[in-house]
Amino acid sequence: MMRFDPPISRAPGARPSLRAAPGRPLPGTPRVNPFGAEDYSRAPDPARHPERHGARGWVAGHEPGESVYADDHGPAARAVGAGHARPALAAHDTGPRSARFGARAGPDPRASHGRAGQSAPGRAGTEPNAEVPAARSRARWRGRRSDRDPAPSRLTYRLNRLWLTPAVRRAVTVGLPVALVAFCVGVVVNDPVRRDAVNAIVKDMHTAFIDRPEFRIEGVAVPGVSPELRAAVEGRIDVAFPESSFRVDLEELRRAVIAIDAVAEAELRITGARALEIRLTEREPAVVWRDRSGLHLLDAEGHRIARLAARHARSDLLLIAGEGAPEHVPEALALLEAAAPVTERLRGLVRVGERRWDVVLDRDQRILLPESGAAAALERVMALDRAQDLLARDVAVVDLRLPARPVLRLSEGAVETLHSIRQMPE
Amino acid sequence: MTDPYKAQRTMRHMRRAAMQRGVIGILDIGTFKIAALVLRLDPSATPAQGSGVGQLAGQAGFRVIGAGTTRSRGVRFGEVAAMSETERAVRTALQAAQKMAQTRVDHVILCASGGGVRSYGLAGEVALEDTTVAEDDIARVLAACDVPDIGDGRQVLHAQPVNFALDHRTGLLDPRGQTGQRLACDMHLLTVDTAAISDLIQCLKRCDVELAGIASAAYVAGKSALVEDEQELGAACIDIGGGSTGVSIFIKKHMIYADSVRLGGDHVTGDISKGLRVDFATAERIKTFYGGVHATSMDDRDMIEIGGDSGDWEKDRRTVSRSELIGIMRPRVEEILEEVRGRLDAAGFEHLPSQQIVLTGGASQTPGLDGLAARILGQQVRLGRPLRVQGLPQAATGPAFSAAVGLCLFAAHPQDEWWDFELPTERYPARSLKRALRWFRDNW
Repeated sequence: MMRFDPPISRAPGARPSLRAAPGRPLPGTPRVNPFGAEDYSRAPDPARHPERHGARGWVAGHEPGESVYADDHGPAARAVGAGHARPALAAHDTGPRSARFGARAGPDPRASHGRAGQSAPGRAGTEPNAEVPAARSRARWRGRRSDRDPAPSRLTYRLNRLWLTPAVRRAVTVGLPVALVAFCVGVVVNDPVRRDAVNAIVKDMHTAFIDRPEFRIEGVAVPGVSPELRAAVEGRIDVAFPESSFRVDLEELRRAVIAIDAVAEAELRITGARALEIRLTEREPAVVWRDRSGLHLLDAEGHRIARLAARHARSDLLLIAGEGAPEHVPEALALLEAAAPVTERLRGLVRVGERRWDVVLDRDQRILLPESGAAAALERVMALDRAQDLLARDVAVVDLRLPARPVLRLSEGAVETLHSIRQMPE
Repeated sequence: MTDPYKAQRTMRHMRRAAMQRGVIGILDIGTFKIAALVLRLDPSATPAQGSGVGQLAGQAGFRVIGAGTTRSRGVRFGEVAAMSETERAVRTALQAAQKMAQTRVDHVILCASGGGVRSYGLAGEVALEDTTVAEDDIARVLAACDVPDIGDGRQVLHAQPVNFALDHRTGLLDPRGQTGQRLACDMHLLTVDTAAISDLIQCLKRCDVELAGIASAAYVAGKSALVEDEQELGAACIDIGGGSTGVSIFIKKHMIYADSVRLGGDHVTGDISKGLRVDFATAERIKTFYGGVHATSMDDRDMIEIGGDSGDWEKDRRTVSRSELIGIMRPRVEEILEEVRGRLDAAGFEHLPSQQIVLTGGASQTPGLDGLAARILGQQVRLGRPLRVQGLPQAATGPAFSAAVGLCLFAAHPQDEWWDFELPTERYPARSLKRALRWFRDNW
């Protein structure tokens, strides 16, 4: 049996040879035929579906001189012209069905008409392959409605246009899922029982997390301070250890610790040893202040540190007294420095009328200082003392409240002695 | 004549709206096929280098993003014969094009091949009020053209100014801004049957799209199939379609004559069908694969299987020689060409400086047609294919798509027509106010 090969190379515009089987699109022919519509966008690739292009079956099986139409599945060329009688088949359609038509190799739906001729005598011998394609075509045709109108119905057409409208498309592809998810979430959340359950679960997970031993604080450590202060600090920290570090507000603890009078500065940190370490800077006592309620220790800025039980416990410190004295502790310390020559005799400083200082020495000697320039006035007194031993004499009060007019008040005995001396006859 | 003026102005507005939206549809409702294209209009776009698409001929500025064709249904001689069938076919083509473009089309430009176009040459002349020609004067001279009686039931399809003359100077393309005393113009008027056009429009309305313009198929086929020098020096474009053959004559880049012959490839197919006693589809296939117009001795020996699926084995296994087929086809093709020859003679085509004839349209693919046409129409005959435009699928670049491609050019760069100019102010009630203003300006 001779095998018939259609010419493969041909000038693009040339007329197809009559010997070429029309069933197979010749190389160089456009995929659309001018006589029926094709979908350019989805014309099938002949290389991918070789079996649909008549590579075997009716084309390969026939011999030269024999009609290429002898077989009952119409060769593809019939589908080309079939557009006239059945525009339904050659026209555009969507989907794989039209792709088969686009290949122009689909079996003819009306093949069943011709199948009657298959039993004609003498034909069976010429077509050894006739049975297989026929069976295949029957199977292929069973599921397809051949006479369907390819034109979209008005409704389909309108829906298609609606779908191609960008706003509608976006609304359906984006808006609708978002709305759906939002609706579902809303329905779930709207039920208080579910909401509480979800909250409880979240809370449990949160608790379980922060209660892990990695975050636990076992205790508090206050290194390098006196036991009293440590007790005071521990008394201020209102945390029941062990406790998770997430539940400890360090800033608040620090404020509580700083509220202790004796503490100047506090540094809190959670150490690797799962302890809350508090480093304290204590206030340094500078003076002792006596008021009506008793004795208090003050630091150099006048901040109260602690109550003092007895003066002799801190006899090294300056004693100050009077209302408003703590606010002027720095001035008092300056006066103490100015009074250095008489330090042994110094009993203390008294704030008078909340405006000026008296320096009290032993033997009830007082130096009354002015409101301003007190240190300078005291240094004048010290200079007088150095020059004339003023304070060693029987002077009760050195009054410098008016710096321009210093006044000395003698003690009573001295006054009498002075009178008696003056009245002694010469 | 105000009514077509208004209708065409409305279509111009639609076209402008489509330009703003950037998408416009092209619909060529032919007798054999319906082609729909979707254009994306982008006036700033330039074609890629080396793509073979030129800048100058107006094919820049848009891109074909969707195409769909379908077998035409319910159309005869380019006119709607069965409205619902045509509507279905239009829907099929439009939906396919929209699907390929992935966008919806709301404005469509249509071309009409049927309706018996008739062309008239009009002339008008006005005296200029000012010595300088203004836009206003163009409108006046166009309105001053004396319109012949175009007959009942016909309407104006094109009214294109083809020539302007200022005093003794003629051949002006754009007289605006030039000085003179008298302005004259020649206008080419194309009329069609109102019923044929309104049927097409009705079809479009039922497909939910707005009509943004309508053009004669002969005109747009000439725009796309004639190259620039042919349009300039004078040429005729013969668009041989399925049911009708359009004739348009161009000179100086303007169409000066258009006509149509109600014969086409379908008549050839019908002859084959009758002669060989086969159905129309089979005849179409035989014509496509084996058709021709020149028989040689070889053709006597070329036996064609007629085929068919009538169920009668003997009938379906007939053979016919190719000479017989050619013997059937050739007289009909000759008849078509002779009709065209008559139209060209009536139009005075022989007086043009260049008498190039370009055959295009689906039926122009008949082998040997150019040789036959050269005998009947004249020596300068060539087969024309449409201009290359961006994005057009390879399958839609054949001569059958000349009108569709020309319609793309028409959509992107329409020629100025009568309705592109404002009506002269004399027709408005604002005239008295304007005259008062003019008096004021002249006297103060």
